[in-house]
Amino acid sequence: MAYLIFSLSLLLIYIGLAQMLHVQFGLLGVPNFGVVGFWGLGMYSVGVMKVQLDMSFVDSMVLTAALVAVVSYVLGALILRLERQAILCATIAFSAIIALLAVTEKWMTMGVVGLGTIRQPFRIFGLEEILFFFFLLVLIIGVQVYLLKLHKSRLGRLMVAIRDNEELAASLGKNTFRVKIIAFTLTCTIMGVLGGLSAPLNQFLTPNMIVPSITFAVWISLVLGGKEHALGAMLGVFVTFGLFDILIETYAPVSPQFAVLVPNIKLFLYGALLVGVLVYRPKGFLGQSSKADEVLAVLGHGIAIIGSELCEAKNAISKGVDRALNGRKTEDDA
Amino acid sequence: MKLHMRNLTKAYHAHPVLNVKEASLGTHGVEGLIGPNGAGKSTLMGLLTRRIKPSTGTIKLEDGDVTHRLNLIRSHQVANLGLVKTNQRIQGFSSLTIRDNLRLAATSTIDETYRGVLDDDQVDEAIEAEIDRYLSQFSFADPDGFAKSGGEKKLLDILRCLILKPRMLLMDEPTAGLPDDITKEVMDLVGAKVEAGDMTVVIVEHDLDLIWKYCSYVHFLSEGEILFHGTPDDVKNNRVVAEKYMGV
Amino acid sequence: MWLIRDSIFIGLLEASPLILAAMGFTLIYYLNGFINFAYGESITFGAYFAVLFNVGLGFNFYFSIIPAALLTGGLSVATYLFIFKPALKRGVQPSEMIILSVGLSFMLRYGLVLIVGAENIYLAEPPIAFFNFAGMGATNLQLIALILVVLIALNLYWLVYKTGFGEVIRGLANNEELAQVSGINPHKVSVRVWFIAGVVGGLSGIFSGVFALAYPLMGWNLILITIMVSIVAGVGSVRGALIASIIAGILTSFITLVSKPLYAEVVLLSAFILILWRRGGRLA
Repeated sequence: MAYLIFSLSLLLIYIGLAQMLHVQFGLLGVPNFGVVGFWGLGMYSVGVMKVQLDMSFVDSMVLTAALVAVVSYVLGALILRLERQAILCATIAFSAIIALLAVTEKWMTMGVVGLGTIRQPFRIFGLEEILFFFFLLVLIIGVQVYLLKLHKSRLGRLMVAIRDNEELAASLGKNTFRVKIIAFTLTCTIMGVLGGLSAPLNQFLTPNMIVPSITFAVWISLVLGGKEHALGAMLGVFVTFGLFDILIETYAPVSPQFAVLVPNIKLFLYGALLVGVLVYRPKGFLGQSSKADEVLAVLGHGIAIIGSELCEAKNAISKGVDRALNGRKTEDDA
Repeated sequence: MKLHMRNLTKAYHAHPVLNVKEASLGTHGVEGLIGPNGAGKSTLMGLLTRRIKPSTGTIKLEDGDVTHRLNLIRSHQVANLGLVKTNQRIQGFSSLTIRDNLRLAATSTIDETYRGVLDDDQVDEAIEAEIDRYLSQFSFADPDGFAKSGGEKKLLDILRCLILKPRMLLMDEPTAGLPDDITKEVMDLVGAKVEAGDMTVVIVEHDLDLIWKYCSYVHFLSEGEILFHGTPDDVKNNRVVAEKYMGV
Repeated sequence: MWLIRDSIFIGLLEASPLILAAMGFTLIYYLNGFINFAYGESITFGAYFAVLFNVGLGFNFYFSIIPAALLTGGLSVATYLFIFKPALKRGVQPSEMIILSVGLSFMLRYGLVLIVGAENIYLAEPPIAFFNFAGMGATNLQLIALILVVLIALNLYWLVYKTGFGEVIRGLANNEELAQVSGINPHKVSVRVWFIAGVVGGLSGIFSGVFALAYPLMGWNLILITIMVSIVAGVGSVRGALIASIIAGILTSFITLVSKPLYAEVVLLSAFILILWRRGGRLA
């Protein structure tokens, strides 16, 4: 049960990251491939402030948000005028820098030894985890409501216009760079805050948590769910993280011998799904429709897809396990 | 609203494409800018809207008593000063409907805020009424949907600029891709707005009949320089223009 | 003084895989105009194919290099034909092509992990000898790798700049229609470019860790710096990629000598972001 709450909390964190990426890439067309960098910066910032400086959770969250805001503003000022491929490369370089600094700055981060323990903010014995989960749930639902409104708002229209044709939007008197840098700073800061909230979840921080596969998992969720759709991020995370990290890891009868294979199968399937979607269904499951009456129909469709995805994944896993079994056997024989 | 250029040059890789010693645009209501292909017309347009940075020289925008140096500002600021340009090539926002295109242009930036997202009322009655007026005057196959044909996209481009209520409108080949009857409607509307003193207009065009019909003053650009300017009759009878352009 | 000398020497030895990877990556980038993260898997698979022939099939250590490199070339062509070509035909945007290539990269890498496991695999090396030049040491394998890299790099340089094939690639990259009119078969040229790039990437993987080992993340670890070097060098400049990768290698060894290896990466990555910013927009 405790593990399930942990997984569900992490699921909410992933949804939050994908929602922010939706604003950046889906609405504004800014391909941030350094998601894990902002998340990791926030996580380590809270970790260092709580463990090394013994600050309260609220104080450390506020200071972390300010820190990530400054960092993302500076990075944004450097790169947001560049073409998309350059933004993508620069953000991935940024996340690599953060991951390296987590290792090298031992005086702060304890390096590969690890930093801990970061305790839950709600100190009610026995209810700590579940209260934190509900706190995250309220937060993510709030963000989702805001996103749904953003899609129908003037600001959302301006963002989409910038994504479609930034030069034309500027020629209509829109300060496109300002819109981009404010949105980038805001969404990256929220990614950092989500990282800060992940610190008490993980409790013990190590640099190998800041890996590119987290960025990748967020991207695959968004692209699968539909990058331009308000609900795409949420649906995508249910299909990916919800399926693999919760349903299969918690409930699938995988013997411990093969449990170690599941993360690899997961990343393999993520890759395959991403390739399949981009080559055959570039708009993702939800496409880009945003009319409220279509959403329900689309959701039904999404649930059907999750179902078929489940079957497919089950088959793929049994295949993978078979293959691994055979592989291991031949190794043993040799 | 007037534009003054002085010693304005643009060179790509030391290859000069434009060299305007001194010129003024926007003093005669509707003006025309003509010249052979490669004369530098599009470069000049890009320079005026700050889409392209000049190699040397200054551009000043004179608005009553106030003078703005365009060298110092970015393209969205130029538009906010009232200097707007329609596009020669078809440009558009592929995910916005015709109405959303016009709403985007008509909506002021101060309404496009993060707090504004939470407002239940995202519709501005005055803007909707204006859009309705435009859409009743110019017919689209699906006015609540997307602009489909090239002609519709071109028309939408011009309407997008007009709804900005520009003080000075640069029209870069407005007739290219537009059916004749629509061109006439657009030009009549533009003419009425100039009559009313709302704006001045500069038209870049290859269709000389349109230039002679609507323009009261014409500039002739060739090999990056403004070689001649005057009334349509002066230009028609000018030897240099005849030699370099009309192939007489 | 010794610092500069050692930096250059160690830099050259360590940069050999990077030099090859940057040149190969640049070929594809120039021809198709998108950043191919899956090129990292050419590096990884090159090393694993070498393991397959050397350890699995018992080939002589040096002879296993050749079939391994050719097989990697084949893999590279397959990714082009089955994934990238259809996507390019559909008009997928460059930024989404990158995401596609990252997806393919994960698929290949974790497919490999599922088959062979995530542990390091060591090659059956020939006996190691140690040479000493004026106070600087290098093993026979390092020196052989360096000589081979120089030969391959010169070969590639000659192919791109001194033969008709280089002209054809340039023509195709600049204007596909014009190239087709003048009798170039784009499909054939693309397949050849992807094959050559794959072979070079495979060799880079075999030389990484100087013929020592293969592990699934080796390509991913090298691809980021490869991309940076190629972009800084300018799109399509094989010459620039060569020079930039040597400089990056020497710079890395210099910073490593005066502080820590990880700081070298931090400095290079930060420099990369600043160079992009200074250049203001275009990658080239």
